[in-house]
Amino acid sequence: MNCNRRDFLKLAGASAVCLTLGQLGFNLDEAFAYAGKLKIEGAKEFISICPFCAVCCQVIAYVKDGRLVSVEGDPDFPVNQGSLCAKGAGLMGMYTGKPRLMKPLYRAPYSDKWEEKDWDWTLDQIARRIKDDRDKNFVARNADGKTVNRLENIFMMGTSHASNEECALMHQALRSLGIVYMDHQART
Amino acid sequence: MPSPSLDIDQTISAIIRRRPVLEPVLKSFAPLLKARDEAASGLVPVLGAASVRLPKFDRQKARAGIPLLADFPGRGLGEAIRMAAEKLLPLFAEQAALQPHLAALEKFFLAAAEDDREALLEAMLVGSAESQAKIAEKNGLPPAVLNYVAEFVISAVLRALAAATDEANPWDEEAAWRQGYCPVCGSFPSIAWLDRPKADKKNAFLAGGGGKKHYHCQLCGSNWAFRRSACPACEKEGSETMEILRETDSHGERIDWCAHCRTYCPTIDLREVFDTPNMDAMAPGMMHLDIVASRNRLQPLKYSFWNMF
Repeated sequence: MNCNRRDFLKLAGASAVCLTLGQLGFNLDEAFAYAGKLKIEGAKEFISICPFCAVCCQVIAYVKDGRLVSVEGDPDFPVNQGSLCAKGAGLMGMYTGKPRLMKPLYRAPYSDKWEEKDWDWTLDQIARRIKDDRDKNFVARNADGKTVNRLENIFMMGTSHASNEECALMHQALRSLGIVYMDHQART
Repeated sequence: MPSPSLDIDQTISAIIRRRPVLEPVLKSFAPLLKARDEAASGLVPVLGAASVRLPKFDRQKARAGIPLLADFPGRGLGEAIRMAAEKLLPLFAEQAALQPHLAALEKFFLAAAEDDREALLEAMLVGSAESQAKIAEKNGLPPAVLNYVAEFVISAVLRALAAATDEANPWDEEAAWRQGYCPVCGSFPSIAWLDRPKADKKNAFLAGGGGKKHYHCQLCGSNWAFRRSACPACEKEGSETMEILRETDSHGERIDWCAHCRTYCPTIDLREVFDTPNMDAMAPGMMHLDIVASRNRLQPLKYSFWNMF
């Protein structure tokens, strides 16, 4: 037996000569009508990598009309074998979670209300306040006169849904300002 | 097959409860499916006594994509084919479309020389439509009729052969078999399933799991694992290769199709169903999705009587 791909494709073709249900006398009108009424949905499979830690578990992402509709661990990837940790299992929420904030909210000092603000105002405020605070509190040298170049008044708390790449960017940006207190959950 | 919690009758009843429209087809074929399994079980000791065994699994050949029954001459199986036919032909006699051909079928399967039946088995293993057609014509049968009956009769013999192995699915160990066709007989699969999680449920740190794809061969009844992101027919692999079509709110039933070669295979996600169906009965039970696939101009990996329209 010459076992090449063509032969096996031929095998699939060979069975094409088998009798059909129609030839066997079945009336399939009702089955066709039933199938025609079914609400069918489709999705494409993409192989991707969970972005939450250095283990880099592989995932299968289902995408429909350009939107992520489902994520599951890739059973063929030897590290996670289809499983995901609690964070990885919540990967969908990173893109589609309804409780996510879609616009900046601002609560003024002593206020008990959140106000919706636009991004320009928000980014200006953040930049202004970090700059003012850094100018005022930057520590170039410690009590022993050693150069430390740090800013101890700002603490960065990252979200558990920050990806490895986002965390790397945040880390570099904050370090460049001298901020030393930061934490997030991008770890196993 | 994952040890089925539902037998053929239970699987068919469960499908009919969900989709009564499939009842006439499924009820007609249930006796044939059961008789094929019974014939295969009855043949296991017969083949054992005749020392006809499946060749030993060879990892190197498997890596080269050579199924176990490649080069299998079929000699010594002529009598087993006759015995399987003896059990199954009375059931075919109940199908009106086959009645004009019953005499020729009986002559070929029950009375002709063993060599002729063994030649048919060889032609099916090689996948030679031409040889099958020649055998049919020589015996006064339309090729479609002979092929339809042979898919059951030869299947019973191959199932008996595949069942009488010492090891369970050695081709799945260390992913020794990486092909989309059957590691035993070389046929393409008729149905796939995604398995349930095997992870320790007490492990609070892991979620999900399972989802490994397995194919089922309708011809010899073997199962093998395959990569989710690869097409079993054209072997393309990676993102945007495989797509799915499913009924909204379906019970884990879907078709997985390749965006490159447009072949498809019905698939059941066992993580979404409570009972494990009998895969031989489940394949025709997903005929509604075969119709959907046909309307989407997709081609089945394995043509069968229920998926050609």
